[in-house]
Amino acid sequence: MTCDVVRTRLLALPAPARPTDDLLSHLAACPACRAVQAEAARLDAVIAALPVPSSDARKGTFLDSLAADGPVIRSIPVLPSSLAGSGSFRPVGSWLKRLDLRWVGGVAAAIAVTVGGVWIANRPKPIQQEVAVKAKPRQELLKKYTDHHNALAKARTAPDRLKTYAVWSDDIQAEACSMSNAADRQEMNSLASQYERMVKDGMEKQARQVADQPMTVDDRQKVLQDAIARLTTAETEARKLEPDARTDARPALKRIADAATAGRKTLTQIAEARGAP
Amino acid sequence: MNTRTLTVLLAGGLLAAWGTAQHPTGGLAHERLQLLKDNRELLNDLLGHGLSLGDKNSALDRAVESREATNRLARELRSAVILGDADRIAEMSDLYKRVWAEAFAPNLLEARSYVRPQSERYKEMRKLHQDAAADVAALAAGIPADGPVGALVRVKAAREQLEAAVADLGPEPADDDK
Repeated sequence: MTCDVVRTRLLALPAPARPTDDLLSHLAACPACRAVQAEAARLDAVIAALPVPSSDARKGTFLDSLAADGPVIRSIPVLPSSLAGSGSFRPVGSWLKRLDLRWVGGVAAAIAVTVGGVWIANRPKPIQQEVAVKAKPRQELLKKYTDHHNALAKARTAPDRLKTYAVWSDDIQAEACSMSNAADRQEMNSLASQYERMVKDGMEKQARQVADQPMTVDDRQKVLQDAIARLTTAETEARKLEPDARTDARPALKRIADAATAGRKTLTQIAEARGAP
Repeated sequence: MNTRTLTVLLAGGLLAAWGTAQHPTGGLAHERLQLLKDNRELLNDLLGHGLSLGDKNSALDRAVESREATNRLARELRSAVILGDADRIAEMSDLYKRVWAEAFAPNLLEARSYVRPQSERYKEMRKLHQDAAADVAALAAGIPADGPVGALVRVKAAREQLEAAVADLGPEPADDDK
């Protein structure tokens, strides 16, 4: 048994002057602990010798006089006569004295932490806390589709519409290529179908309308060259990805590349035609 | 700094780099794939409306086509309300408002400048205005105003922006039969 343990237990004894047998053996061999025991016994005796008011009435009068100027407590509660002085509380007091305060403190802290944790976890959350919760992701592609729709609603000429369809087809092709390692066959085929429609019903159709407009071959080529360049890039990228892509993605990438090739050829033909194509 | 500290830091750094390299975009790719699946039909339909717009050569026709696009987004929004999906409600109402304010309303207003009163096109335009105004009001009213979803700031904002959308249309065209 260490000196710390012996001294803690000494302080917890109801009467340090009467140590238990297991403490006695240590005290016999340890002068320092004997000194602590002697000091504890002396304090115990001094406290016991302190004067105590002889009756509850006098104690009450004394406390009332303290509170006379701004009283909050006019009198102190008095135990029922059946309990006062009966010794009923002595075992509790004695038990409290024997408690190791470190354990009591530890248990109290553990309860406080547990109760605090449960309260924090279950307290009602104010509405403003929703900003701290990560919102579900939004699909950037969907926003781009509505943006393209709005651009088309503002477009008044075939060249303006062709430009928008060219950018829109780029977005579809880029999505397909970037998702080719993750998307399954159905998603890839859906993107391929969209790309095909965009090239055929969007770009090629508007390119033909451009050809119907009165303009020089040079001007027509200028209008179409950006769309042709985009189709060329799409074709190259899709063909480059196709051989190493997942089996599910290969057919879709091939369809995209083929649609880009067909679109490029059609637009080039329109651009280079002399007179009406 | 002694050798042991340096070694520990170096080992920790290498471990972190290795861990990161295992799935560089795994979560992101999964998220994008799920969004692609969830929105597949919507994307297809919006693309269809976008392609149809290329054939529309009048403001009124473009307004009609844009209204089709807003109707499609409204369908998604109503589904989100039924599911109590606050994020989807916010997303769809944002998209709806964008198409409404940037495509539908400007074309409808432009149509008023040239559609001759007492014509069939005028009646069509007036009905389009009335129906659209009634629909957007009903759509806003359908977004819950209270309860766990309705109390959220983003849902409240969604409802408010749709309530305010009617103002983009200006006053209703006069009834030319009177």
